[in-house]
Amino acid sequence: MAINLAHSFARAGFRTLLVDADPQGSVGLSLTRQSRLLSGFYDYISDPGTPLDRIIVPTRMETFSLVTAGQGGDYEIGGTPTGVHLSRVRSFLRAVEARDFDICLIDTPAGLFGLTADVICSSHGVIIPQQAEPLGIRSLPKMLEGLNRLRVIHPGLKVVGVGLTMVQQDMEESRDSVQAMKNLLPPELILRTSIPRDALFVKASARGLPIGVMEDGVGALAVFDSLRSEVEVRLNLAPPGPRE
Amino acid sequence: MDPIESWMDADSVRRLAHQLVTPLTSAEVDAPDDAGYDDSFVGYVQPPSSAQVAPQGPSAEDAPPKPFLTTSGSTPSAEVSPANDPEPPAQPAVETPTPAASAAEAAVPAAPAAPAGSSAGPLVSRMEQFRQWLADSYRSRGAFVLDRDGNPVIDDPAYAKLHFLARSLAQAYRPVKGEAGNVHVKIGSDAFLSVVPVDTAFGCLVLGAVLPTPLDAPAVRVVADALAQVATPPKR
Repeated sequence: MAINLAHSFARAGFRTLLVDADPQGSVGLSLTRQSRLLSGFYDYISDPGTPLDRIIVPTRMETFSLVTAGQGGDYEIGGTPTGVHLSRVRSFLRAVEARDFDICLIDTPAGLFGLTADVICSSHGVIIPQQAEPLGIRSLPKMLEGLNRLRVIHPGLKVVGVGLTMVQQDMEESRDSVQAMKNLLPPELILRTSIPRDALFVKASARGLPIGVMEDGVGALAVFDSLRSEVEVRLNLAPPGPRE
Repeated sequence: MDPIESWMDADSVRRLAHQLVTPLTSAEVDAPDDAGYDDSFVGYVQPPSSAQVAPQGPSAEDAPPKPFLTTSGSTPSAEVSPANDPEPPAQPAVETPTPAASAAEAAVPAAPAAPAGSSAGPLVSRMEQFRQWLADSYRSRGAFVLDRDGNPVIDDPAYAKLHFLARSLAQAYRPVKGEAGNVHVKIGSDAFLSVVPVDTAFGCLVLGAVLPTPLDAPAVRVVADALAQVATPPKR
Protein backbone atom coordinates (compact mmCIF):
# COMPACT_ATOMS: atom_id res chain seq x y z
CA MET A 1 0.00 0.00 0.00
CA ALA A 2 2.75 2.45 0.96
CA ILE A 3 4.60 2.25 -2.36
CA ASN A 4 1.51 2.73 -4.47
CA LEU A 5 -0.02 5.41 -2.29
CA ALA A 6 3.26 7.31 -2.33
CA HIS A 7 3.42 6.95 -6.10
CA SER A 8 -0.08 8.36 -6.38
CA PHE A 9 0.84 11.36 -4.24
CA ALA A 10 3.90 11.97 -6.36
CA ARG A 11 1.85 11.76 -9.56
CA ALA A 12 -0.53 14.32 -8.14
CA GLY A 13 2.36 16.74 -7.74
CA PHE A 14 3.07 16.30 -4.06
CA ARG A 15 6.77 16.24 -3.28
CA THR A 16 6.70 12.82 -1.73
CA LEU A 17 9.19 10.94 0.40
CA LEU A 18 8.57 7.26 0.92
CA VAL A 19 10.52 5.85 3.85
CA ASP A 20 11.05 2.18 4.43
CA ALA A 21 11.12 1.64 8.18
CA ASP A 22 10.64 -2.09 7.85
CA PRO A 23 13.93 -3.92 8.52
CA GLN A 24 12.90 -6.43 5.86
CA GLY A 25 13.38 -3.60 3.42
CA SER A 26 10.49 -4.49 1.17
CA VAL A 27 10.05 -1.00 -0.24
CA GLY A 28 13.67 -0.71 -1.23
CA LEU A 29 13.76 -4.23 -2.59
CA SER A 30 10.68 -3.56 -4.65
CA LEU A 31 11.88 -0.40 -6.25
CA THR A 32 15.65 -0.31 -6.38
CA ARG A 33 18.17 -3.03 -7.14
CA GLN A 34 20.83 -1.24 -5.12
CA SER A 35 18.77 -0.97 -1.98
CA ARG A 36 21.02 -3.29 -0.01
CA LEU A 37 23.99 -1.10 -0.83
CA LEU A 38 22.40 2.15 0.23
CA SER A 39 22.46 3.79 3.61
CA GLY A 40 18.94 4.29 4.81
CA PHE A 41 16.52 4.90 7.61
CA TYR A 42 18.11 2.54 10.12
CA ASP A 43 21.53 4.00 9.47
CA TYR A 44 20.13 7.45 10.17
CA ILE A 45 18.41 6.28 13.34
CA SER A 46 21.42 4.48 14.73
CA ASP A 47 24.10 6.95 13.68
CA PRO A 48 23.54 10.65 14.41
CA GLY A 49 26.40 11.41 12.01
CA THR A 50 24.39 10.25 9.01
CA PRO A 51 23.06 13.26 7.09
CA LEU A 52 19.59 13.07 5.55
CA ASP A 53 20.95 13.92 2.11
CA ARG A 54 23.00 10.74 2.10
CA ILE A 55 19.99 8.48 2.45
CA ILE A 56 17.52 10.13 0.09
CA VAL A 57 17.29 8.27 -3.21
CA PRO A 58 15.75 10.17 -6.11
CA THR A 59 13.60 8.33 -8.63
CA ARG A 60 12.76 8.98 -12.24
CA MET A 61 9.84 11.05 -11.01
CA GLU A 62 10.96 14.46 -9.88
CA THR A 63 8.42 14.50 -7.09
CA PHE A 64 9.13 11.03 -5.77
CA SER A 65 12.06 10.18 -3.50
CA LEU A 66 12.84 7.19 -1.36
CA VAL A 67 14.65 6.35 1.81
CA THR A 68 15.40 2.65 1.98
CA ALA A 69 15.67 0.69 5.20
CA GLY A 70 19.40 0.77 4.70
CA GLN A 71 22.20 -1.50 5.68
CA GLY A 72 20.51 -2.46 8.87
CA GLY A 73 23.73 -1.79 10.75
CA ASP A 74 21.65 -2.58 13.77
CA TYR A 75 19.04 -4.86 12.35
CA GLU A 76 17.75 -5.58 15.79
CA ILE A 77 16.93 -1.92 16.23
CA GLY A 78 13.37 -2.80 15.31
CA GLY A 79 13.12 -4.87 18.43
CA THR A 80 13.91 -2.11 20.88
CA PRO A 81 11.29 -0.95 23.37
CA THR A 82 8.98 1.92 22.55
CA GLY A 83 10.52 5.30 23.15
CA VAL A 84 14.16 4.39 22.66
CA HIS A 85 14.34 5.98 19.21
CA LEU A 86 11.60 8.55 19.61
CA SER A 87 13.88 11.57 19.63
CA ARG A 88 15.90 10.29 16.68
CA VAL A 89 12.77 9.59 14.65
CA ARG A 90 11.51 13.08 15.39
CA SER A 91 14.85 14.48 14.40
CA PHE A 92 14.55 12.60 11.11
CA LEU A 93 11.09 14.02 10.46
CA ARG A 94 12.21 17.54 11.29
CA ALA A 95 15.01 17.15 8.76
CA VAL A 96 12.51 15.87 6.19
CA GLU A 97 10.20 18.80 6.86
CA ALA A 98 13.09 21.21 6.37
CA ARG A 99 13.65 19.66 2.93
CA ASP A 100 10.23 20.89 1.84
CA PHE A 101 8.61 17.59 1.12
CA ASP A 102 4.83 17.88 0.98
CA ILE A 103 4.27 14.48 2.44
CA CYS A 104 6.37 11.76 3.98
CA LEU A 105 4.97 8.24 4.07
CA ILE A 106 6.71 5.79 6.35
CA ASP A 107 6.16 2.10 5.85
CA THR A 108 6.62 0.53 9.28
CA PRO A 109 6.94 -3.03 10.49
CA ALA A 110 3.73 -4.61 11.71
CA GLY A 111 2.73 -4.05 15.31
CA LEU A 112 2.22 -1.03 17.50
CA PHE A 113 5.32 -1.18 19.65
CA GLY A 114 9.02 -0.51 19.43
CA LEU A 115 10.19 1.58 16.51
CA THR A 116 6.78 1.45 14.87
CA ALA A 117 5.27 3.07 17.95
CA ASP A 118 8.02 5.70 17.90
CA VAL A 119 7.26 6.50 14.27
CA ILE A 120 3.51 6.69 14.91
CA CYS A 121 4.09 8.91 17.95
CA SER A 122 6.08 11.28 15.75
CA SER A 123 3.66 11.48 12.85
CA HIS A 124 0.63 13.57 12.01
CA GLY A 125 -1.44 10.58 11.09
CA VAL A 126 -1.52 6.85 10.80
CA ILE A 127 -3.10 4.62 8.17
CA ILE A 128 -3.69 1.03 9.23
CA PRO A 129 -3.67 -1.47 6.37
CA GLN A 130 -5.85 -4.40 7.37
CA GLN A 131 -6.09 -7.57 5.35
CA ALA A 132 -9.67 -8.56 4.67
CA GLU A 133 -9.45 -11.99 6.18
CA PRO A 134 -10.93 -13.37 9.41
CA LEU A 135 -7.70 -13.71 11.39
CA GLY A 136 -6.80 -10.13 10.68
CA ILE A 137 -10.18 -8.87 11.81
CA ARG A 138 -9.95 -10.84 15.04
CA SER A 139 -6.86 -8.87 15.94
CA LEU A 140 -8.89 -5.67 15.75
CA PRO A 141 -9.31 -5.24 19.54
CA LYS A 142 -5.55 -5.41 20.09
CA MET A 143 -4.94 -2.93 17.32
CA LEU A 144 -7.47 -0.48 18.74
CA GLU A 145 -6.06 -0.85 22.24
CA GLY A 146 -2.58 -0.21 20.92
CA LEU A 147 -3.61 2.88 19.01
CA ASN A 148 -5.45 4.28 22.01
CA ARG A 149 -2.33 3.75 24.10
CA LEU A 150 -0.21 5.61 21.56
CA ARG A 151 -2.70 8.46 21.47
CA VAL A 152 -2.02 8.99 25.16
CA ILE A 153 1.60 9.64 24.25
CA HIS A 154 0.69 11.60 21.13
CA PRO A 155 -2.79 13.12 21.58
CA GLY A 156 -2.49 14.98 18.30
CA LEU A 157 -2.24 11.77 16.31
CA LYS A 158 -4.85 11.57 13.59
CA VAL A 159 -6.07 8.08 12.85
CA VAL A 160 -6.59 8.54 9.14
CA GLY A 161 -8.34 5.23 8.89
CA VAL A 162 -8.20 1.52 8.42
CA GLY A 163 -7.53 0.59 4.82
CA LEU A 164 -8.83 -2.81 3.81
CA THR A 165 -6.39 -4.70 1.64
CA MET A 166 -6.34 -8.05 -0.19
CA VAL A 167 -10.09 -7.83 -0.61
CA GLN A 168 -11.49 -10.75 -2.62
CA GLN A 169 -15.06 -10.18 -3.63
CA ASP A 170 -15.33 -13.72 -4.91
CA MET A 171 -14.55 -15.23 -1.53
CA GLU A 172 -17.15 -15.39 1.20
CA GLU A 173 -14.66 -15.12 4.08
CA SER A 174 -13.17 -12.00 2.60
CA ARG A 175 -16.57 -10.41 2.09
CA ASP A 176 -17.55 -11.34 5.64
CA SER A 177 -14.40 -9.76 6.96
CA VAL A 178 -15.15 -6.50 5.17
CA GLN A 179 -18.69 -6.55 6.50
CA ALA A 180 -17.53 -7.30 10.05
CA MET A 181 -15.17 -4.36 9.90
CA LYS A 182 -17.98 -2.08 8.76
CA ASN A 183 -20.23 -3.37 11.51
CA LEU A 184 -17.65 -2.77 14.19
CA LEU A 185 -15.94 0.47 13.27
CA PRO A 186 -17.49 3.90 12.80
CA PRO A 187 -17.51 4.96 9.15
CA GLU A 188 -14.99 7.72 9.76
CA LEU A 189 -12.49 5.10 10.86
CA ILE A 190 -12.68 3.07 7.67
CA LEU A 191 -11.25 4.29 4.42
CA ARG A 192 -13.88 3.90 1.73
CA THR A 193 -11.34 2.77 -0.81
CA SER A 194 -10.36 -0.84 -0.39
CA ILE A 195 -7.48 -2.52 -2.16
CA PRO A 196 -8.36 -5.67 -4.04
CA ARG A 197 -6.15 -8.70 -4.13
CA ASP A 198 -4.57 -8.65 -7.55
CA ALA A 199 -1.85 -10.66 -9.22
CA LEU A 200 -0.70 -7.42 -10.75
CA PHE A 201 0.90 -6.49 -7.38
CA VAL A 202 3.22 -9.45 -7.68
CA LYS A 203 4.06 -8.61 -11.27
CA ALA A 204 4.73 -4.97 -10.43
CA SER A 205 6.92 -5.91 -7.52
CA ALA A 206 8.88 -8.30 -9.72
CA ARG A 207 9.61 -5.47 -12.14
CA GLY A 208 10.42 -2.98 -9.38
CA LEU A 209 7.55 -0.73 -10.33
CA PRO A 210 4.56 0.78 -8.61
CA ILE A 211 1.48 -1.05 -9.80
CA GLY A 212 0.09 2.11 -11.37
CA VAL A 213 2.78 2.24 -14.05
CA MET A 214 2.17 -1.30 -15.29
CA GLU A 215 0.69 -1.62 -18.76
CA ASP A 216 -2.58 -2.94 -17.41
CA GLY A 217 -2.40 -0.98 -14.17
CA VAL A 218 -5.00 1.64 -15.00
CA GLY A 219 -7.54 0.14 -12.65
CA ALA A 220 -5.04 -0.06 -9.82
CA LEU A 221 -4.00 3.50 -10.51
CA ALA A 222 -7.57 4.63 -10.04
CA VAL A 223 -7.85 2.73 -6.78
CA PHE A 224 -4.78 4.37 -5.29
CA ASP A 225 -5.75 7.79 -6.61
CA SER A 226 -9.05 7.35 -4.83
CA LEU A 227 -7.24 6.33 -1.66
CA ARG A 228 -4.91 9.30 -1.98
CA SER A 229 -7.86 11.68 -2.34
CA GLU A 230 -9.38 10.31 0.84
CA VAL A 231 -6.12 10.70 2.74
CA GLU A 232 -5.72 14.23 1.43
CA VAL A 233 -9.14 15.17 2.78
CA ARG A 234 -8.74 13.41 6.10
CA LEU A 235 -5.36 15.02 6.73
CA ASN A 236 -6.48 18.40 5.40
CA LEU A 237 -3.51 18.47 3.08
CA ALA A 238 -3.06 21.63 1.09
CA PRO A 239 -2.69 21.18 -2.66
CA PRO A 240 0.92 20.86 -3.71
CA GLY A 241 2.58 24.19 -4.18
CA PRO A 242 4.52 25.29 -7.24
CA ARG A 243 8.08 24.03 -7.40
CA GLU A 244 10.98 26.36 -7.85
CA MET B 1 -24.80 -13.92 13.29
CA ASP B 2 -21.51 -12.75 11.87
CA PRO B 3 -19.00 -15.51 12.60
CA ILE B 4 -16.13 -13.07 12.85
CA GLU B 5 -17.77 -10.69 15.28
CA SER B 6 -18.58 -13.58 17.56
CA TRP B 7 -14.85 -13.91 18.21
CA MET B 8 -14.66 -10.63 20.03
CA ASP B 9 -16.53 -8.38 22.40
CA ALA B 10 -18.16 -6.15 19.82
CA ASP B 11 -19.24 -3.53 22.36
CA SER B 12 -15.72 -3.24 23.67
CA VAL B 13 -14.36 -2.92 20.13
CA ARG B 14 -16.87 -0.20 19.29
CA ARG B 15 -15.96 1.67 22.47
CA LEU B 16 -12.26 1.51 21.63
CA ALA B 17 -12.96 2.61 18.07
CA HIS B 18 -15.06 5.52 19.25
CA GLN B 19 -12.23 6.67 21.50
CA LEU B 20 -9.96 6.82 18.48
CA VAL B 21 -12.19 9.25 16.62
CA THR B 22 -12.83 11.43 19.66
CA PRO B 23 -10.44 14.36 19.75
CA LEU B 24 -8.29 14.46 22.85
CA THR B 25 -8.74 18.17 23.25
CA SER B 26 -7.58 18.30 26.83
CA ALA B 27 -4.53 16.22 26.35
CA GLU B 28 -1.39 17.83 25.13
CA VAL B 29 2.09 16.48 25.48
CA ASP B 30 4.39 19.06 26.92
CA ALA B 31 1.68 21.67 26.86
CA PRO B 32 2.96 25.04 27.97
CA ASP B 33 2.67 25.39 31.67
CA ASP B 34 -0.25 27.50 32.77
CA ALA B 35 1.30 30.18 34.90
CA GLY B 36 -1.97 30.64 36.71
CA TYR B 37 -1.46 34.35 37.25
CA ASP B 38 -4.49 36.41 38.02
CA ASP B 39 -5.02 40.13 37.77
CA SER B 40 -3.42 40.75 41.12
CA PHE B 41 -0.03 39.61 39.92
CA VAL B 42 2.19 42.56 39.18
CA GLY B 43 5.41 40.81 38.42
CA TYR B 44 8.49 39.69 40.21
CA VAL B 45 10.54 41.97 42.39
CA GLN B 46 13.65 40.48 40.90
CA PRO B 47 13.82 38.58 37.68
CA PRO B 48 14.78 34.98 38.20
CA SER B 49 18.45 34.36 37.67
CA SER B 50 17.88 31.21 35.68
CA ALA B 51 16.70 32.26 32.25
CA GLN B 52 15.80 28.77 31.14
CA VAL B 53 13.17 28.17 33.74
CA ALA B 54 9.79 29.78 33.52
CA PRO B 55 8.80 30.47 37.10
CA GLN B 56 5.58 29.05 38.32
CA GLY B 57 2.75 31.31 39.17
CA PRO B 58 2.19 32.39 42.70
CA SER B 59 -0.47 30.69 44.67
CA ALA B 60 -0.64 29.28 48.12
CA GLU B 61 -0.64 25.83 46.65
CA ASP B 62 2.45 26.54 44.60
CA ALA B 63 4.52 27.59 47.58
CA PRO B 64 7.86 25.84 47.69
CA PRO B 65 7.32 22.32 48.88
CA LYS B 66 8.71 21.11 52.09
CA PRO B 67 11.94 19.29 51.53
CA PHE B 68 11.86 15.59 51.73
CA LEU B 69 13.34 14.02 54.83
CA THR B 70 12.66 16.92 57.11
CA THR B 71 10.39 15.95 59.91
CA SER B 72 7.09 15.59 58.22
CA GLY B 73 5.18 15.95 61.45
CA SER B 74 6.53 19.42 62.11
CA THR B 75 4.35 22.44 61.85
CA PRO B 76 4.07 23.57 58.26
CA SER B 77 6.23 26.51 57.49
CA ALA B 78 4.45 29.81 57.31
CA GLU B 79 2.83 30.13 53.94
CA VAL B 80 1.97 33.67 53.06
CA SER B 81 -0.99 34.33 50.87
CA PRO B 82 0.40 35.51 47.59
CA ALA B 83 -2.08 38.31 47.35
CA ASN B 84 -0.59 39.83 50.50
CA ASP B 85 2.93 38.80 49.95
CA PRO B 86 5.18 41.67 48.92
CA GLU B 87 8.05 39.32 48.22
CA PRO B 88 8.45 37.42 45.00
CA PRO B 89 6.35 34.38 45.57
CA ALA B 90 8.30 32.02 43.44
CA GLN B 91 12.04 31.88 43.45
CA PRO B 92 13.60 29.21 41.38
CA ALA B 93 16.81 27.86 42.74
CA VAL B 94 17.37 30.68 45.21
CA GLU B 95 20.59 30.67 47.09
CA THR B 96 19.62 33.29 49.62
CA PRO B 97 16.37 32.36 51.28
CA THR B 98 13.73 34.92 51.96
CA PRO B 99 12.98 35.50 55.61
CA ALA B 100 9.73 33.62 55.20
CA ALA B 101 11.44 30.53 53.96
CA SER B 102 12.42 27.94 56.48
CA ALA B 103 16.02 26.97 56.80
CA ALA B 104 15.22 23.62 55.39
CA GLU B 105 13.57 25.11 52.33
CA ALA B 106 16.59 27.23 51.66
CA ALA B 107 18.88 24.29 51.97
CA VAL B 108 17.07 22.11 49.50
CA PRO B 109 18.08 23.53 46.15
CA ALA B 110 21.70 23.99 47.16
CA ALA B 111 22.22 20.70 48.94
CA PRO B 112 19.45 18.26 49.72
CA ALA B 113 19.24 17.29 53.33
CA ALA B 114 21.13 14.20 54.31
CA PRO B 115 18.98 11.22 55.14
CA ALA B 116 17.53 11.65 58.55
CA GLY B 117 16.63 8.90 60.93
CA SER B 118 13.19 8.63 59.39
CA SER B 119 14.74 7.72 56.06
CA ALA B 120 16.41 4.63 57.40
CA GLY B 121 14.84 1.23 57.25
CA PRO B 122 13.92 -1.09 54.40
CA LEU B 123 13.78 0.34 50.90
CA VAL B 124 10.05 -0.18 50.55
CA SER B 125 9.41 1.65 53.80
CA ARG B 126 11.57 4.56 52.69
CA MET B 127 9.78 4.58 49.35
CA GLU B 128 6.42 4.77 51.09
CA GLN B 129 7.66 7.77 53.08
CA PHE B 130 8.82 9.32 49.85
CA ARG B 131 5.42 8.79 48.27
CA GLN B 132 3.72 10.39 51.26
CA TRP B 133 6.09 13.32 51.01
CA LEU B 134 5.17 13.73 47.35
CA ALA B 135 1.51 13.78 48.29
CA ASP B 136 2.08 16.31 51.05
CA SER B 137 4.43 18.58 49.16
CA TYR B 138 3.23 18.40 45.59
CA ARG B 139 -0.34 17.19 46.00
CA SER B 140 0.41 14.03 44.07
CA ARG B 141 -2.61 11.81 43.71
CA GLY B 142 -0.54 8.75 43.14
CA ALA B 143 3.01 7.71 42.48
CA PHE B 144 4.92 4.66 41.50
CA VAL B 145 8.57 3.86 41.01
CA LEU B 146 9.79 1.39 38.41
CA ASP B 147 13.18 -0.26 38.33
CA ARG B 148 15.32 -0.52 35.22
CA ASP B 149 13.45 -3.63 34.12
CA GLY B 150 10.11 -1.91 34.44
CA ASN B 151 9.12 -3.76 37.59
CA PRO B 152 7.42 -1.63 40.22
CA VAL B 153 9.48 -0.87 43.32
CA ILE B 154 6.41 0.78 44.77
CA ASP B 155 3.15 0.48 42.95
CA ASP B 156 -0.07 2.38 42.87
CA PRO B 157 -2.89 0.13 41.75
CA ALA B 158 -4.92 3.08 40.57
CA TYR B 159 -2.27 4.00 38.04
CA ALA B 160 -0.83 0.63 37.05
CA LYS B 161 -1.91 1.29 33.46
CA LEU B 162 0.51 4.19 33.32
CA HIS B 163 3.61 2.04 33.84
CA PHE B 164 4.07 1.44 30.13
CA LEU B 165 3.62 5.10 29.34
CA ALA B 166 6.03 6.12 32.08
CA ARG B 167 8.68 3.74 30.82
CA SER B 168 8.18 4.93 27.27
CA LEU B 169 8.53 8.55 28.24
CA ALA B 170 11.54 7.82 30.42
CA GLN B 171 13.24 6.03 27.57
CA ALA B 172 12.46 8.86 25.22
CA TYR B 173 13.97 11.33 27.58
CA ARG B 174 17.70 11.82 27.44
CA PRO B 175 18.77 14.03 30.34
CA VAL B 176 21.90 16.08 30.09
CA LYS B 177 24.49 14.25 32.11
CA GLY B 178 24.40 15.25 35.74
CA GLU B 179 21.19 17.19 35.48
CA ALA B 180 17.75 16.28 36.68
CA GLY B 181 14.91 16.49 34.25
CA ASN B 182 11.51 15.17 33.56
CA VAL B 183 8.89 14.73 30.92
CA HIS B 184 5.24 15.05 31.51
CA VAL B 185 2.04 14.32 29.69
CA LYS B 186 -1.43 15.54 30.41
CA ILE B 187 -3.62 12.58 31.28
CA GLY B 188 -6.75 14.37 32.36
CA SER B 189 -8.34 17.78 32.56
CA ASP B 190 -6.42 18.47 35.75
CA ALA B 191 -3.90 15.69 35.95
CA PHE B 192 -0.39 15.29 34.62
CA LEU B 193 1.82 12.28 34.69
CA SER B 194 5.31 13.53 35.51
CA VAL B 195 8.05 11.05 34.79
CA VAL B 196 11.41 11.57 36.46
CA PRO B 197 14.20 9.14 35.63
CA VAL B 198 16.81 9.09 38.40
CA ASP B 199 20.16 7.30 38.50
CA THR B 200 20.51 5.58 41.83
CA ALA B 201 22.50 2.87 43.50
CA PHE B 202 19.89 0.47 42.12
CA GLY B 203 20.31 1.67 38.59
CA CYS B 204 17.96 4.02 36.83
CA LEU B 205 14.66 4.26 38.67
CA VAL B 206 11.69 5.86 37.02
CA LEU B 207 9.30 7.86 39.12
CA GLY B 208 5.79 8.34 37.78
CA ALA B 209 3.75 10.85 39.73
CA VAL B 210 0.22 11.98 38.98
CA LEU B 211 0.04 15.65 39.80
CA PRO B 212 -2.38 18.52 39.30
CA THR B 213 0.34 20.57 37.60
CA PRO B 214 3.64 19.57 36.01
CA LEU B 215 6.75 19.88 38.11
CA ASP B 216 8.89 22.88 37.34
CA ALA B 217 12.63 22.51 36.99
CA PRO B 218 13.57 23.30 40.62
CA ALA B 219 10.92 20.91 41.86
CA VAL B 220 12.19 18.18 39.56
CA ARG B 221 15.63 18.64 41.02
CA VAL B 222 14.29 18.37 44.56
CA VAL B 223 12.22 15.30 43.76
CA ALA B 224 15.05 13.59 41.89
CA ASP B 225 17.47 14.24 44.73
CA ALA B 226 14.94 12.96 47.22
CA LEU B 227 14.40 9.75 45.28
CA ALA B 228 18.14 9.25 44.91
CA GLN B 229 18.50 9.65 48.67
CA VAL B 230 15.71 7.22 49.34
CA ALA B 231 17.27 4.65 47.07
CA THR B 232 20.65 4.97 48.78
CA PRO B 233 21.09 2.22 51.33
CA PRO B 234 21.49 3.78 54.80
CA LYS B 235 24.97 3.69 56.23
CA ARG B 236 25.32 1.51 59.25
